[in-house]
Amino acid sequence: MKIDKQKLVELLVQKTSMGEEEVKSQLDQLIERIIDAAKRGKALEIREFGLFYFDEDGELKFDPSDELSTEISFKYAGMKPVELKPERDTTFPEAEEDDDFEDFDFLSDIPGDDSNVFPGTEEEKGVFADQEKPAEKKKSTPLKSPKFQSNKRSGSIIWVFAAILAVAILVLAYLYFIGSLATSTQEPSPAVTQVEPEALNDENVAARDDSTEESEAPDAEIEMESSVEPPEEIIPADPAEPAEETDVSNEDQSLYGLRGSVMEEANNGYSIVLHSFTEEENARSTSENLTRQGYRSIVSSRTVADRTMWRVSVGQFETLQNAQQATRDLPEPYNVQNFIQRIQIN
Amino acid sequence: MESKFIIAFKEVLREQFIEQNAVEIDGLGQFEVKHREQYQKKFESGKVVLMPPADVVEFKSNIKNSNED
Repeated sequence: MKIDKQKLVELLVQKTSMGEEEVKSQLDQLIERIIDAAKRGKALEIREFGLFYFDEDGELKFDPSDELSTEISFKYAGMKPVELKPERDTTFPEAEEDDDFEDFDFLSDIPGDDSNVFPGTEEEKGVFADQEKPAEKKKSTPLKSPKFQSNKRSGSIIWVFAAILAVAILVLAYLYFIGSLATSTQEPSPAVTQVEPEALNDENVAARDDSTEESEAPDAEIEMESSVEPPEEIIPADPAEPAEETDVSNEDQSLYGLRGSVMEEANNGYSIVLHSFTEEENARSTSENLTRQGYRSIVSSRTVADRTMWRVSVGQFETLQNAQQATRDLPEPYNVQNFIQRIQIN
Repeated sequence: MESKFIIAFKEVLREQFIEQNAVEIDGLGQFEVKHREQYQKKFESGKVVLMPPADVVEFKSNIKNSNED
């Protein structure tokens, strides 16, 4: 809807209880002052509203104030940029890097014109254009470095070092192997737990499946299926057989995923924010609605500029990439109007 | 110009912006609220950041400094 000058005058009359002629006169004075100041090469600022000025091309411009920008964009208040890929020569960011990133204040640092904020950067419109490409895989330095071939003068010395290194690694591997053999005969695998925490999670899933499952398919198969994709029948789309279907959802659901019920163990991951409310009640009812549609729905709150915002997100994902991929499975407009955040449970 | 009017002016425009209404003021210009979708920002350092969506005010005016002189 468009508000023209006449409609604006009417609204101002209602607001100020001034006469129409007086409001018109005040509005004309305001316009005159804005133009006048701009012509004198000065900017006229209306506090907590914005700044009017002529730019270098002599065109009248308006820069909204931070307060106005925040208020207009309140639906997205508190949403911060998410680092998808770190700077070169580093591996993909884990929890520590994300924590650093939390300090970046989106609202104050990113005005409408982004090109001024980060000069020399390129922007890509659209959502997750290059999701198919996995993150750069940088493994630890291999034993055979390219230097071994290029630097032949000191080749003999390098070969000696390499030989010593190889022997040392072999000895260590042998000792480790012996040690793990000895411990595995007594207890299942304490060493594995320490090296790969993910393996532990999988074991927990398997264990949970095991405890709830009675006479279904073998556990190994259940685990494999659920880790790839949650089965469709988890979501009770048709309430005809609610009891049976809810049982299935509890048993077969994988730890992470878009649909199913919320898993407490997966709250260390990421979720896709679809709504942001100022009223908790609205957030809860929207969340319930999403849950009825079969999504794992989470309500969390965050205080932004002394205001509590209630966010409704769906899904639990181990990594950002998984969450981004899952946004494609959301219906419109959520597949583009969403945002990913770390799961926060209040 | 009365401060009461300025306060009302700010409030009315803000209310209209929140309702996604465009406001056209003859002799000044047109305000419009546009939705900016989330996008990926690529830095020269190789860092890629997902910027959140936002609603922003855009202002267009036909008034030029040269015309006013």
